Amino acid sequence: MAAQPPDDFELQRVYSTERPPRAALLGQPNTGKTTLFNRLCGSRARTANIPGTTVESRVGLASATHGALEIMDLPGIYGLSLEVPESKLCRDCLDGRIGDVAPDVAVIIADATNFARSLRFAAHALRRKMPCVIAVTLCDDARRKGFSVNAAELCACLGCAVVITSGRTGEGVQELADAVLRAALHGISLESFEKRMHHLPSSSASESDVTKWANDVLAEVASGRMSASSSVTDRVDRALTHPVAGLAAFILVMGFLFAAIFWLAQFPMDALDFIFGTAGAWVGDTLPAGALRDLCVDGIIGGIAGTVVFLPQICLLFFLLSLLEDSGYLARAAFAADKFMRQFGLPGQAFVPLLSSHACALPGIMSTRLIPDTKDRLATILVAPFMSCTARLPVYVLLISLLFAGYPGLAGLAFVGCYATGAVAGLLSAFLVRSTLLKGPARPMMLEMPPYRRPSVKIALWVMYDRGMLFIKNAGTIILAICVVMWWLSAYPKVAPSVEVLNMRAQTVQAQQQPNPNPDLVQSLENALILQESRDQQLGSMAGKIGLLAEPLFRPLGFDHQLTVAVLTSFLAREVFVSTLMIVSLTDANDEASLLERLKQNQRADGTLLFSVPTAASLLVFFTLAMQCLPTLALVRRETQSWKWPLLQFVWMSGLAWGMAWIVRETLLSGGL
Amino acid sequence: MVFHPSTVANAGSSLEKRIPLTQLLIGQRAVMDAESLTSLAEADRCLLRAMGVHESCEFKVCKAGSPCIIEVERTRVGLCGSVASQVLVKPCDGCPAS
Repeated sequence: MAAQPPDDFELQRVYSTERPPRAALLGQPNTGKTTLFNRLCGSRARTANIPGTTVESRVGLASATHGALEIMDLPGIYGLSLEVPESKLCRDCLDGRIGDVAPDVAVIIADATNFARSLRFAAHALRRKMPCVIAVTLCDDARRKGFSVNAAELCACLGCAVVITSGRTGEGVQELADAVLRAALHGISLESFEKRMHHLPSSSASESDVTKWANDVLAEVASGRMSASSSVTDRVDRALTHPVAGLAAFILVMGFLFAAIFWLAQFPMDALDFIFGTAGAWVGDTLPAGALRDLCVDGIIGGIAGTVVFLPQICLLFFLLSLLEDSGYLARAAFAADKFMRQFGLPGQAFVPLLSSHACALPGIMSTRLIPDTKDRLATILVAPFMSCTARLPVYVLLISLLFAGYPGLAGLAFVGCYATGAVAGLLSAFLVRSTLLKGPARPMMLEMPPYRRPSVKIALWVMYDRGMLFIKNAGTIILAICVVMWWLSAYPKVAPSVEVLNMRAQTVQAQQQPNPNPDLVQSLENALILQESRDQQLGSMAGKIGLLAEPLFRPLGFDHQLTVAVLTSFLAREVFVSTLMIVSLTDANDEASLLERLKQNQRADGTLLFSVPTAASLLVFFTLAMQCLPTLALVRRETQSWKWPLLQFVWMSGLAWGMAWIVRETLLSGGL
Repeated sequence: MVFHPSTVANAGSSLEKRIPLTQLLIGQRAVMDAESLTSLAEADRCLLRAMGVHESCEFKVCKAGSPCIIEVERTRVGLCGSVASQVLVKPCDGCPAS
């Protein structure tokens, strides 16, 4: 149902060659705004930062009967005049101070199931001198509860077009698009604006006066009465926010989320790994040997694979988070975690991002968008990479196996210790940053508890698709570029074959040309040759030279120049460390036992063991705490729109890792180990 | 969370006496007045007002303690203990805890 103020405006079909009229959806959180947006724009929507800001907005095209509309879904806000970043952003956007152009129409969302509050919001929004349309959402839900709004009477009361809609059922969506296009083309005259203002409470009215006005309008335009929330909701709320039962439910839900990200995502991740591996092998076999093949296989395909392999975890995380948010549980979960997190200067909402970071810091950092306060969000982003991610696992396995071979109990404890060390370092760093750079306690929790609803799988799939595409687009481009640069540093300049390589080549050729060549021996010689060439190339490359230069920095931790190169190259991604060590130790990449044995026997130039207990322990501590992940730094740069925070994060985490690793090594050395 | 049933019982008989929100019983109704939110920071006060928790609202307590959950009109708002203890309210006469 739609109602328009009377006028003599005749709408003609729009044959504009310019941009379509733009409408901004303006409303409070949990009012069906995003569902309505999805219904209006369908698949023609994309998520993008509002130009000049770090706040995301979804933009899409909607079809009205007489032309197209560009719809912008602004962040949900409780009031336009509030001094919070989202409200300020909405004000700036409506005034045309940010973005390429100001919206032509404001579509004010009024939740039919909470109509008095929506009217108070509308009273403030309608004071802006711009064409406005009121979209009364969730009308199906309200009708089921015996409440309805008369659009014609509301239109007369407010002096602007009113459309009764439901994003879930699609009711009134086409009428809304038509009304918005009509309002955009009609504009607003001084006379009609003054008429509208005449209907509204004055700008100096107190909250009580606005409430009285809203109640009067409600009495005039609405029929029926919304029943109060059920006692079941009260009981569920009491259970989910109870200090013990609430915490138990929280641990259960988050445990499931964590397990799903860790375990379920493994299958598509393996599949992606296989696909990229096959693609790399095919390109490697097809292209002639040379720089182009190396660039395609190691730089481009390797770079894309290293990034896209995390896509299943990101998609799964956002799918599940969307279901949880839609169900109304996340607000309760935030309260369950709040008491513990607050002691470290973080809000309860930080728990989910930090937990997600145990799978991978990238989705964890992306999910900090759930945190409303800027300082709280920034603090969470800064400490998220301390959580032990899956990329650290191969390094933990290798080094713990070296340290505790034959002691499975101690090895298990060491694993737990690594995870605990990361988490404790993260929480203490949060405390430190909230006491210094981002001074102030976490914002006290005051949250609207949305009604419990059956979550929409369709919306969750939309969110998953949207987030996945955003990750591929943003992270993929930046990270890929950095990966290619890092590959170039590792691959150039090309190193001339050393005497050792020439000798090994001669031996390999000799073995191949024997009358009855031993295939195992030939294979072994070929592998040794490839590894030696890789080692020479690595040491002679730009990255290798940087490693040699950096060796004095890592010498106090017990690292020699080869280990330094492995640490530096793993800056691209932590898991690279294991494959680099394979090259350094000149062993078969697939033979873990052989690798471990070889690593144990690896010697320094002075004949002492490279992987002594103190050195292996300091290396383990270093990897537990260090910021060895270029993609994470690139994402933090994108999320904070500044190099300051990722640089600070890198310096702090690397410094702490170095310091703790040194303390551990010195302690063990002084203990006679 | 400290809970004083006696305070609540006494307060219920006098509309003039304000008590911290944390002292209300589950199901009890109360109203706010001009002094109710003055202890809060301006930004928090504005946010609560925008959520419907303003100086002339009547509400029901859905969960006592921390967090305290109240229902204003059709909106349920959760307040952490530190905020709830600073909000002073007047329990309604004739609206005992149910």
